Amino acid sequence: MKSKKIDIRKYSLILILAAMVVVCSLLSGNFLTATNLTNILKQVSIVTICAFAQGMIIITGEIDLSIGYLAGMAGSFACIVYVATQNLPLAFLVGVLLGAAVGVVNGLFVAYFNLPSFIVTLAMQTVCFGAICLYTGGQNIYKIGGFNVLGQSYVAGIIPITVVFMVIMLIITHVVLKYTKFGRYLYAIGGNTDAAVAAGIQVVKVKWFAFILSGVFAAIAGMVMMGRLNAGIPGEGQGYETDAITATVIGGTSFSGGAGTAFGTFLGSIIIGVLNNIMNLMGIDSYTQMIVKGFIIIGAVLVDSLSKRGKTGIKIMASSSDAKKSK
Amino acid sequence: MGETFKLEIQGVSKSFPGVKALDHVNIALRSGTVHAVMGENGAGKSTLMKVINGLYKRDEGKVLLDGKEVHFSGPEESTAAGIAMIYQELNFFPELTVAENIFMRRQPGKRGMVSWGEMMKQAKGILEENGLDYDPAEKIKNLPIASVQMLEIVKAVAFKAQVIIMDEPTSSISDKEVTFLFETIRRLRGQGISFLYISHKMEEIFQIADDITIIRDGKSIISGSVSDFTENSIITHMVGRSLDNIYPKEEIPPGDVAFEAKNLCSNGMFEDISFYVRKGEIVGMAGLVGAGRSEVCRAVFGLDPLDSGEITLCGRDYKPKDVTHAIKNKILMITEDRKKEGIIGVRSCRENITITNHHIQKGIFMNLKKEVEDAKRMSEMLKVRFAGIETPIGSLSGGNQQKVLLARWLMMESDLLILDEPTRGIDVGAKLEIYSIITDLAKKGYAILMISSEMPELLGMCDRIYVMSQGHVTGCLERSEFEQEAIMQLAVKNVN
Amino acid sequence: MKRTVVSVFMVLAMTVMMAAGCGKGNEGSQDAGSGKSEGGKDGAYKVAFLPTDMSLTFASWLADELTTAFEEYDDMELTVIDSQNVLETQISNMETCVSQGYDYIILLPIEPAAEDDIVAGYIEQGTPMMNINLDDGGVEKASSVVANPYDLGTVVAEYAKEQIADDANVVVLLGPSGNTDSIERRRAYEDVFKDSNLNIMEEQIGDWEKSKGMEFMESWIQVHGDQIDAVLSMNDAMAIGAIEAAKDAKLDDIKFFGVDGLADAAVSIEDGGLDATALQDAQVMAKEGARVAHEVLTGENKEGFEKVEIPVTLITSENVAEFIQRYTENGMLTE
Repeated sequence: MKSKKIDIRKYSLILILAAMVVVCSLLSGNFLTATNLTNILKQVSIVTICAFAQGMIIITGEIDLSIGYLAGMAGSFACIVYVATQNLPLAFLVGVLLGAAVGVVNGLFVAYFNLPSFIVTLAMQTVCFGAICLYTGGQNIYKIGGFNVLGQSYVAGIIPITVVFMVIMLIITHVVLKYTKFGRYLYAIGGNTDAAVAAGIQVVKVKWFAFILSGVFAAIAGMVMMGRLNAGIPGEGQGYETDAITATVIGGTSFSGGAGTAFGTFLGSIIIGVLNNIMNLMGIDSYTQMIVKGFIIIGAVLVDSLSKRGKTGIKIMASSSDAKKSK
Repeated sequence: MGETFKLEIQGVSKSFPGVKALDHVNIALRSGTVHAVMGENGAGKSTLMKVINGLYKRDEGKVLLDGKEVHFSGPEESTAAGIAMIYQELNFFPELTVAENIFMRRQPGKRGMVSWGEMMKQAKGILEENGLDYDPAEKIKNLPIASVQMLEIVKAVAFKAQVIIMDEPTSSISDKEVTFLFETIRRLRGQGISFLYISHKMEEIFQIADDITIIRDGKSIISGSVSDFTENSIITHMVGRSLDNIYPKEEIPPGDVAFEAKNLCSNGMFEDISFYVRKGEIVGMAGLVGAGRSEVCRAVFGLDPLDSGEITLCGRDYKPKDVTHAIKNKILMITEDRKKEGIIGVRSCRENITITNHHIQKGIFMNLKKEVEDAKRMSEMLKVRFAGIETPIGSLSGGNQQKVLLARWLMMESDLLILDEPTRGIDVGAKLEIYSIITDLAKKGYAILMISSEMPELLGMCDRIYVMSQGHVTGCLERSEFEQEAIMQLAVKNVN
Repeated sequence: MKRTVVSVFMVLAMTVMMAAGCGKGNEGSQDAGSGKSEGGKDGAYKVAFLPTDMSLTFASWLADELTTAFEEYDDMELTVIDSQNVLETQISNMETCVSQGYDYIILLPIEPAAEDDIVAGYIEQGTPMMNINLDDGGVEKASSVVANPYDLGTVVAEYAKEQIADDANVVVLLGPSGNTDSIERRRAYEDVFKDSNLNIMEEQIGDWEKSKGMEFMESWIQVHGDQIDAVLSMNDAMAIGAIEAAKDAKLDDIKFFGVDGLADAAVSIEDGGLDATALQDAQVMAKEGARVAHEVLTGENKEGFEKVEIPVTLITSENVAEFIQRYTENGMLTE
């Protein structure tokens, strides 16, 4: 046994991404340009923020399906507040509070009443969407004016604000998961809830807070999204929760809980973004794109499962051959 | 070789990349006998089973059934040839009925349709024949584990098994159920069925086995009739070195009372429980499974409900609330089911060791540098054997997992340390290490409360033993009064 | 214990819901399609409107306009029942309406081809029905009030032809795969431009979504730079998404054409983004729909059905002010 163990997933993702970049730059001369790379980052940033939220929840062994609709709702409400008051910090605060409120409700049922998160957050999807549609009467919010700085402005003239948001959220997620006690408890609860209880961790509180955090992240993603779209469109968040799941799983977060990192999720999201981008640059038609994406997801989960079966799994090659033997 | 054996394993070897799991193993099972295969965890017992039924292909050597060499390609073929395997982890379908489980893949019926009436009738017949009064229509999940185990045996016999291989069959059942299991094995042995009985529980071997083979590091070390062995000689062969005394008990003069419980009650679980533990003392709790020992301790630790009663901890009042509260009050507990309530399998040893310590620290951030130092220091102190503190705890052996869990709790201050079955499922070598750790703790003044279902362990380690039966304390014995018989009588005492 | 908590919570939740419902009613703002009827008109004809999805701007606008149009009639009462864009739901809603004894059903079909046989069956059994806004002409005896999607495409395409060069480079954004509107509008472009030398550089399915339109445009700008002369989008949202992308890349010379003509498009045209769009006017559509329904129910219309095609309106910078005003008045735009 080697004395120092290597997290194969972390490196395999970087290798996969590097290989993709090389192949893509051969396929299209437009790929490896500063503006295109900026485009990719811009395009993945909102899903990535959702994926950080989803990742934290999946690490605890739960799931949050309300993220997409919550983003749509909180983002649109923030637009409404902004249009009414022209006060950006206030609008942002309202959005964040709405996200937290939905998180409180999710957490109440999942953590406190111990209901399955799949059902609770699925139900909250329609609650969120219903709430915003009830308020707007199904209309979108236009002329949001200065609200678009949240999605269309540039920092230092070249860095898109959406990317800045993504990086800030990446750092926050990384710090939470790696350096805080709360983050450590998320892993412990996802790894073995009963053992976490017996080790003195207050599972209900921790899970509850995780859902609140997830709600806040989703709300921020929603506001950035509406800023980027330059309109408040309640329905635009739909499906972001599943894209977020895909990114986290490709990024090495285990569906059974207890494992996953912020950087993994980030890389997973970038990989999907690069894939979408190169297919668009090459003009591949939508139907083929769907098929390719589907297989990429299966491939990622397969790697996940193989590396788990070959328990110690130092190298990808070794782990896949181990897996065959143990059958 | 004059005698024909029922099942014979000759010079079987099996290698995995980097490991020689079996190295020229020889075992000869006589017809109508129970043959014990003993060895520490990782000695190669499980691999041996899988080589016999063909799940693994042997590299060399022969497996002979009734003198003829056999090559099975998998469990289906070996079962058809009359070799049944009963695994430690039972293979059953909890949501299906007793009858369905007995007839799994052999359902009576025509053209792919199951004839339910016929199946229930046949199942009832099989159960009655074997003296089991289960309802064939009962779902398996509603039966106790021992009954399920019995079903596996009954199922094997019903389908004409000649050789039954059992892997640690008593690891999850109570003493009473063990007695019943052994009666069944003896009866079937009388009918000419042969057993290969894999275990590392000493007292069982002397009760049930006729012959014995000891395996160490994938090699068969010695074979012979059980009467040629003593407990000490078996252990010596198993661990490969001689042991003077298994239990490193030291007489330590007890200090002040650290923990005292008065009239603890929990509705339906236990009643009127009073006991105390002094500093430097190891107090045992004996009793049958279901007597309520774990429940009392879990209630004190805040894991299970406590309805009434008073607890004094080093002179101050303590009321259980939850585990966090218990830890803050310096009550610590290693739970019984290590896999379910102990380890966080996918996470590293480092995290498993320090998780509770983080919990009592102030602030929201962890000190990662100190964490690494702590984890290293604790695992060195307890001599945990692993590749490093980053190894996932799930990949360690039971003994090392237990040491990591001990490390977790020994980082805390303790007024009472509760150990619920601290050596369950741990091989002999590691057991001894755990015993000496416990003794050291007592020497340092720890008050220790220890639950165990292994009587010799309690007798060897404790200063006093409380005995529980049916949710009541039926007696307390001082070390000078220790006697297996007396404890047994208290343990089966009818309190009503 | 926990059960009690849950039930108490449920009661609270219901109280809140009722209070919220009342509040809504008092304000008199638009009904979001919960299926409640507009007060009691005794002995009036019961008419159901089954929109595709009340969270879609056009459907909800049409529902509002229908509600307004029906207020003109004392002997008709309108109920709106949403299908959330699920075909299965819309079919069961039809079933429910028929069994609940509704006298007339106005259908904004999700998938006309799939619903034709069912609609024909109910008409046969005696419940008259109307396809509004979308009709593939598959049911002879169903009334129909539509703005032809092909016509919608045609007016924009003809305007676009005047605005761009004969050999212009264009990119095309399509609606969801198999969507009738998208297919018909695309066909109209095809026919209008059949004699020109238009160069279609890219063509992708943007699912009607603004964010998809934006994403595709970002990539296309990457590949083709400033060579793109025009964006032909089968709806406004995707076109407006593409505009955001072009704005970001500082490309000012691209022309954008959409279809739908709702508030977002009007705002965009006013701001100099979108060049043209075609409107299927929900107000006209609703008035015509109410009229046809009334005539059928009162027997004034002997045949029992009528096919109406309402004119489509081209919106450009020249006439946009009028629409901005209209949308502001009916609440689709807030200042």
